[in-house]
This record gives sequence, structure tokens and C-alpha cells, in this order.
Amino acid sequence: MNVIVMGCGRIGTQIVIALWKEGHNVTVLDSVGESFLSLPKELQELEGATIVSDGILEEELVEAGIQDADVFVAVSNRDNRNALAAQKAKHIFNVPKVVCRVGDPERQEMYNRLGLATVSSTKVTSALILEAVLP
Amino acid sequence: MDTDGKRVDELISHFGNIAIKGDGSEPSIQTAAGVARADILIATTSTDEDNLAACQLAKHLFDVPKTVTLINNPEDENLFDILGIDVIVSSTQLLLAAIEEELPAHSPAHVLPVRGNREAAAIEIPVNSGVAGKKLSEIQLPPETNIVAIVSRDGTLKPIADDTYLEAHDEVVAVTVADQAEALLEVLSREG
Repeated sequence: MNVIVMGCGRIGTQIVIALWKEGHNVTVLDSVGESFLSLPKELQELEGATIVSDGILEEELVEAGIQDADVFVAVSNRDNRNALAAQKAKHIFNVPKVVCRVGDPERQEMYNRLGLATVSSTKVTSALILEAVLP
Repeated sequence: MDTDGKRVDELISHFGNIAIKGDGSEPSIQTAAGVARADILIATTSTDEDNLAACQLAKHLFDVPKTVTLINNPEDENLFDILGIDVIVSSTQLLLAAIEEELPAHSPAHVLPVRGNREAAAIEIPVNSGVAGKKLSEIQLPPETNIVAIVSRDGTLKPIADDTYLEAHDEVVAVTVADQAEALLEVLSREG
């Protein structure tokens, strides 16, 4: 699969490495070039695998290959930016599968109702912690 | 709603309790601001993603009937429209329109310097020009000016002859002395 991952923080890094090891064609975007230092050297040096971009300008999304992408994942630490990029991927570029990270659980539910697949890291993490705490 | 506390304090000191400090794309801030009772939400930050989030929240979480947003990146208009934002105001388009209004209409002449202190000029005959509909023999050209081609609107060449009629949108190519190019433009585009 052709996968675009927007945001190369801790979460983005994990996702990129996992998909890459599975043999998928991954392109990762981040507005800060140093973020890519968290990736394996081989991936950092791979032509076209990393692009410095905040992922919301259509020109840069096209450069990242969004027109041929099977999956778009927005996992930067900015909810609103993720939501804008993911909705662009879904509605402007018709990417078949779009997943968006939204921290705030209330907003996450709203986007889900609008048909945008979203994951709230806040909700997931707190649920796991509760599970570990409660008997 | 504004994240800048100083601005909020200033508003409150001038107009009373009408402002609230916080991120207007947060449900808790919209709740505190009473967005659920609002007839209209207007988002005017300088970041499109925050404006979009504020409008979507207002629309879908608080059922605000009308959302209005400023966009800073003109390409975002399409997406915002698809997502059902009611009124989209593009700051770039507004500025562009304002600037264009101040500029003179784009010059109808292309000028190329030619040896001997001459210039070759290509001038399109404007719709309201006095020479439109006149024969070449009736037109008083500036001194040392030679028409070398007349290209009609459809791209065909007209003969350079006394009884050739000029029409609006014809492009006239002429060689003139350098300081006469303006005069030639004036002759060909002056209103009749």
C-alpha cells in the first residue's frame, strides 16, 4: 500500500516504522526536519520517504503522492491541523482510507459522526490505564 | 473568544463582559461562551485549520444555524464549501480585488526595443477605440511610424492597405521611433 503519514512525533514514528517493516511504501511529513531523526537511518535516507511539510498545502500533499495514496494518516500533535489535512485527503483527494488523530474526546466523536475515522489518544490511553488500575 | 488574554482584557474594559479568553475551537470554551445559544458563529483567526474546527464544532456540536469563516489560503475554499461552512470569506481574494481596483487597466501594448532607437509595439484595439471601424487611410499615425502587421481576433493577418478596416480586438504591430510609442498607443486606443 501507498501510505502517507502526517506528523513524525512519537506516534507517527511508531506507525511509520511498523508499516515500513511490513513492506509498505511510506511517505512521512513533518513541519520540522529534525523530527525525522527518530526514524531508522535507512528510512531517513530513502528517496521521497520524508518530506518537510505541515501537510495542509495541496501542492505539498501532491508532492507526497496523495493522488496515488491508499491510506492517509494524520497523527501530528495538533488536532485542528490533523482534522484539516485528513478532511482534505478524504474530500479533495478521495484517499480510500483516512485516519485522523484527535486528542479531545468530544471533538473526536463529532468527527466520527461526520464520517471521518478518528482516534483519540487521550481516550485510548486513559482506557488502558483504567484497565490496568481496576481489578 | 481569543487566546490572547491582553486583548480579551482590553475588550472587557471597553465594552463590558463580552469576551472570553481561550481557544475557540475547544468545546469547553464554546460552551462557556454560550455558542449553543448563538444564531451565528464567525471565525476570523489567521489559521484556517482553527477556523474550520471552530465552525465544525459550532455547527455539529452546538447546532449553530450559520457559520461564517475567514480563510487565509484560497485553496481551502473548496474543502470548506464541501464541509458545509455557510459563508467563506477569502482574505487573499479580497486583497487581490482591492489591489486590482487601484491598478490601471492592464496596458494593451507590448513594446520591444529595435535597433536605431526604434520600438516595435503590439497594440490591441480596445472596444471603445475611435479607430475601430475606420480605414487605415483615415488614421493619422505619429511620424516615422509604420504598421507592419494587423492580426485580427481569430489570428488571421489583414493586408496593410489603405482600404483595410481596423476593428476592435485587432492587434496592430508597428515600428515607431522610441518616443512615439506612447503617441501611437494614444492614437489607436483613444475613445471615439
